[in-house]
Amino acid sequence: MNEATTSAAAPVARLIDEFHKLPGIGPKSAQRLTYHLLRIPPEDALALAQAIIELKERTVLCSVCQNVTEDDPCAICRDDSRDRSMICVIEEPLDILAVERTRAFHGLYHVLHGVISPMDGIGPDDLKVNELLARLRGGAVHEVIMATNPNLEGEATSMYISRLLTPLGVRVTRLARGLPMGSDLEYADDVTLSRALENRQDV
Amino acid sequence: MYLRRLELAHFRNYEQQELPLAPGRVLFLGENAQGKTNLLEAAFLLASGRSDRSAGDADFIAWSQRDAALPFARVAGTVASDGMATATSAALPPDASGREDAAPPAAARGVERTVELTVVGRASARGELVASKRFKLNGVARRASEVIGAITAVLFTTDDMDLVKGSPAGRRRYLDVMLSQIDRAYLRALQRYTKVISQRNALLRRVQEGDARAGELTYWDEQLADAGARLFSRRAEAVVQLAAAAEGAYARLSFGVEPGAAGAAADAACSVRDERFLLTYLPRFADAWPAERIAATAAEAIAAALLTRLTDTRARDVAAGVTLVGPHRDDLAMTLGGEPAATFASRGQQRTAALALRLAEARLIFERSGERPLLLLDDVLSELDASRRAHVLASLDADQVLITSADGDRFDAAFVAGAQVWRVAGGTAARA
Repeated sequence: MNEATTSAAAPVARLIDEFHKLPGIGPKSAQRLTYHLLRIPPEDALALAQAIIELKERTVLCSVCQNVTEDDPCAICRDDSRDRSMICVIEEPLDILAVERTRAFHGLYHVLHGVISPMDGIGPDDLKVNELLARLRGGAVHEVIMATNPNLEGEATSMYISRLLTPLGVRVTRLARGLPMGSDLEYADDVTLSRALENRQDV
Repeated sequence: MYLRRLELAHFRNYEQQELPLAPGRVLFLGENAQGKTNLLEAAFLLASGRSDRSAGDADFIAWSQRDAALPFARVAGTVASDGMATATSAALPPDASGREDAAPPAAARGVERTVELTVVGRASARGELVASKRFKLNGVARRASEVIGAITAVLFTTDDMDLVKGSPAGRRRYLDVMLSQIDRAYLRALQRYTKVISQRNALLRRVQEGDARAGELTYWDEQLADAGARLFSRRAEAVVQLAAAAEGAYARLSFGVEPGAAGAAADAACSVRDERFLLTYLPRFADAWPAERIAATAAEAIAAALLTRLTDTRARDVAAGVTLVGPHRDDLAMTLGGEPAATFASRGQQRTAALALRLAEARLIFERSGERPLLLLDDVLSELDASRRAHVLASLDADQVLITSADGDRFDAAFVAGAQVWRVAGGTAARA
């Protein structure tokens, strides 16, 4: 408990502390949010409380793709128009929204819920890797696209999973590394530019 | 190159300071704890992106900013290169040798360039100030790895004796700071290697405790071998060059002559032979891989051998919970007249050896980049006797030397007369 919360009434102090635990919320913001809630009509505050309760009570992980969903299996996994021979493997549920926005991918997803990072105590067993292997056993999947972030941990995860999958006879690909569209060569950083050169394509 | 202009805002004990600087000698004089060293630190930060004086980047932000909504510190420096220093000369500095990606940013060579560093602070969850660094090169936001080396500098401090007497970590830092400025591929490999080592060591402890399988090490071994081989290879190559420069610099500082000089100088040099300063690279790899073999082998072949070695010694690494081989455990051996300099040399000899290492650093940067680095002398002259000080000043081959001193009176009049002199007091520098 910090200085500001010791002089506040106990319920106020408790909420400040709860807000403070959230990512991106500092002590000042936690206080501001708490006093804002004190001022608003009771029904608005209850609506917020109810939304939080439902978030925990009415969502589950999709038993197929591990995305967060209200109904299991999730809407994407239930959609018959989607291509069931392709799975795009991503780190976090938010990444699905990013890929969906492209409207360029019509297959299914698999959410790992993290990346391998020994420093943070996260190994393959802490990710939804076994669930992915189970999905491939049916033989209906022909290609797995690794769409982890292009950093050390993302690459480690991608490499680890691709070594597990290759013996199963599944085609494993990963997203290309290169230049963002609409950008200027002059302003590209040299790591990205050298990756783009390595991954160059015939015109 | 020389620093034409240095600007500070909310940096350490400076609120707002602009310093138009002249090529040649620049003296910062003042009492202790007035901010002389902060000026050299600022210039060195722009060149190397790092400072050994602070525990965290938040230390750079002036106290006056600590309670501001957006606390920050800013340092900006503009350098002109050799060709620009004289208005009459159209000659650009000679281009670096054909070494691939060894040179600083090509577009920035031979012209004025401005490096700007902003340290932005914010309150952490626990209420303390944490900060992050942002760099700009010529006004464009860049990664640190693309900005470091646009300005090159060598910092001489009174702690340099630790290079001779201190732990291997200081000697590795000496190589890293130097090579990062002149070789961007080195800096990138170093940044990657540092992350890989942390992850691999964490995984080794997990394997030791049964929380992970040894097979999970494979990816990290490969990454470590790849980045590690680049570091081994570039260090081995650099130390050969560095050793030659350091030996010559040591002889010059001690006796005012090169080893092997003719005539009367040779008589003096006789005693040099008993006091040859030799620098050797000690890679932490395997008995079969001494520095000479590494220097003569392509990085890919070194990586393959390192990967094999990591696999062979995996059980030992797991038992220790740390990675036992690799450039993170390298060292430099220094001998004086055949004896280890750390234990057998006198204080005076160690001090001279430390100066020789810094002069060799400046030489290597010049040979690799084609431009003379800024020389930053933080209080190092005051601890030398008159003759060594004269040798040091005669040995400085630079377009600009920034010197701090607590006692300007001890410099001879001719030295001060030819210099641009600043008085530093209470976080303000003013022309004397």
